[in-house]
Amino acid sequence: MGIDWWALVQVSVVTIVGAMAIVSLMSLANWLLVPPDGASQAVGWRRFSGYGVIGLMGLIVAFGIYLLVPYFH
Amino acid sequence: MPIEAMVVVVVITALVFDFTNGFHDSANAMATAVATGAYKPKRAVLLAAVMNLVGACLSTEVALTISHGIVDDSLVTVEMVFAGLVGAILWNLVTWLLGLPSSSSHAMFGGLVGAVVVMAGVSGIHPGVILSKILLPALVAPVVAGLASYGATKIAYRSFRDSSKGSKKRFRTGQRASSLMVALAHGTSDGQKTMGVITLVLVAGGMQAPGTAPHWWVIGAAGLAIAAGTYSGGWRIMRTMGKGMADIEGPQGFAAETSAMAAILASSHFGFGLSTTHVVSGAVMGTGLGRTPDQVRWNTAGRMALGWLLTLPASALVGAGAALLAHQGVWGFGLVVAILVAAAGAIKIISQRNHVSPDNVNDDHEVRVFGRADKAAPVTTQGALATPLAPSLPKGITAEHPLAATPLVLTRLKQPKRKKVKGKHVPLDQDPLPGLAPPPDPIERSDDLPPEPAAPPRDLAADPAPSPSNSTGPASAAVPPASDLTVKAERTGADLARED
Repeated sequence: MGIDWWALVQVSVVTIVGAMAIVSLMSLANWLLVPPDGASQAVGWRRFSGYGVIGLMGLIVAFGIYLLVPYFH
Repeated sequence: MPIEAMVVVVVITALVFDFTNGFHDSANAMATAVATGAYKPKRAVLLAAVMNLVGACLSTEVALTISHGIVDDSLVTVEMVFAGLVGAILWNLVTWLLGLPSSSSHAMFGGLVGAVVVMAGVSGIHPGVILSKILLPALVAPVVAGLASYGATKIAYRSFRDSSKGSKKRFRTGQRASSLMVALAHGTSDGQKTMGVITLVLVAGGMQAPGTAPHWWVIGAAGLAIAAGTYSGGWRIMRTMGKGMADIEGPQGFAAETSAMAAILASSHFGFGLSTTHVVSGAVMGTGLGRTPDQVRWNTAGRMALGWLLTLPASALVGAGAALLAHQGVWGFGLVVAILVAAAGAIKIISQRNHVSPDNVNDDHEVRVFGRADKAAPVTTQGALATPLAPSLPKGITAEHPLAATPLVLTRLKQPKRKKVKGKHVPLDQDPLPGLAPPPDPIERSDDLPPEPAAPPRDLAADPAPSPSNSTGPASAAVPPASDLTVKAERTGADLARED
């Protein structure tokens, strides 16, 4: 049985890109939600966008559960 | 030996293997979360156990072959499966004792390979598949997960503000979610692996029709076994994984678990199986390198790599021996079981010498087998901190005496000198300088004053403290009952710990 090198490349690329993308989203949300110096919380569009990005991450988690459960696909 | 009895023994052995798989791999999902404080240890393993149980029950698409082509499945007998499981259980227990994360699946494959070689010959194994399914993934998994985790850590620290409470909370929440996902993924893969083994043994024993789904009791038993194993913790491996390889913080834990999650999902989706243990180990190393490379403990990583290399041959050796014995008949089967039980008991007893539990899992970064680790434990039996400031015990005070944990309180409760104002004695309960701010606490003021010469230790046992009835004022009631002192000492110890 030969080694499935293509699968190996796919796994490697998807792992690295996927992990960095998710952490980038988290970092973006965190950057948006960190209040400026002297303020108690982020204001206006920053808060809205920050929570929007967190919602997007929730969708990614749901997609991960979808991939994990064979019943769903 | 009747086939029914043999099947029963093998099913029980498979469930024991499932249990060891659970406690061996509970660290995969929860080690970083426990190390960073995202979860308390007991809560972490409880959640991991629940997610493993759910994962095991989510699907019954178990593997149709227990070996994935590593050996010729048509040659595999119930005896060989039993021998393979024995090899895997023993390897899991030994590596647990050493605190080494290693792949339970590889251990099972190794045991099976050994059993097949001695029972059916070398032609029964497929070396090419061993290379592609075991050796190559063992090399690839930590590298890929490590690279992903390294990059993710660099990104995470670009936005992380250590001073921001919200920042910490968000990364901590993210880490909790990713840890739960890893636990769920582990349940779907490893929980069903044991279901597959039991189902194939039942088929081989003529108790189940070929090609049918696992019985409900098989699903339930395998799920509960891996969940129980996960809940039991595997604290030794948890320590190595969470503290042994690198000291990690919340954003690192999130980056590592997210990278591991991405690797597990990608590998299962694209059909290139990677071990959860190898993935998480690589991710933790990668996150350590991503923040402070000099904090990575390479000797621990080296020990782990050596363990991974030995997994296949060591479990194969045990599997081969177990197969030879089991093939002798009932007495051989019984002897293998007896050896397994005795070895497990011995390993358990040895592990008690340096017990790692939820209470001390984060206290050290090393798992010791021989030699006492608790010599360096800085906590006394009373819970008071043994700080360098604490003087030695006064003569006559034994370690069991309540005052043994209160050396700092004795300093605080030293009888104050009477204060004189213009040659006139002022009672201690009266303000000597009305209208002025009260003097600071004697302990706080001592920071600004030259240190006082140490008073000779008083033999408290021989010279008990004066009773409050003999005192001249409230402050001169210097030494309250010992029980009160113990309570105050614990508070003082905690205060000092905070100050440190």
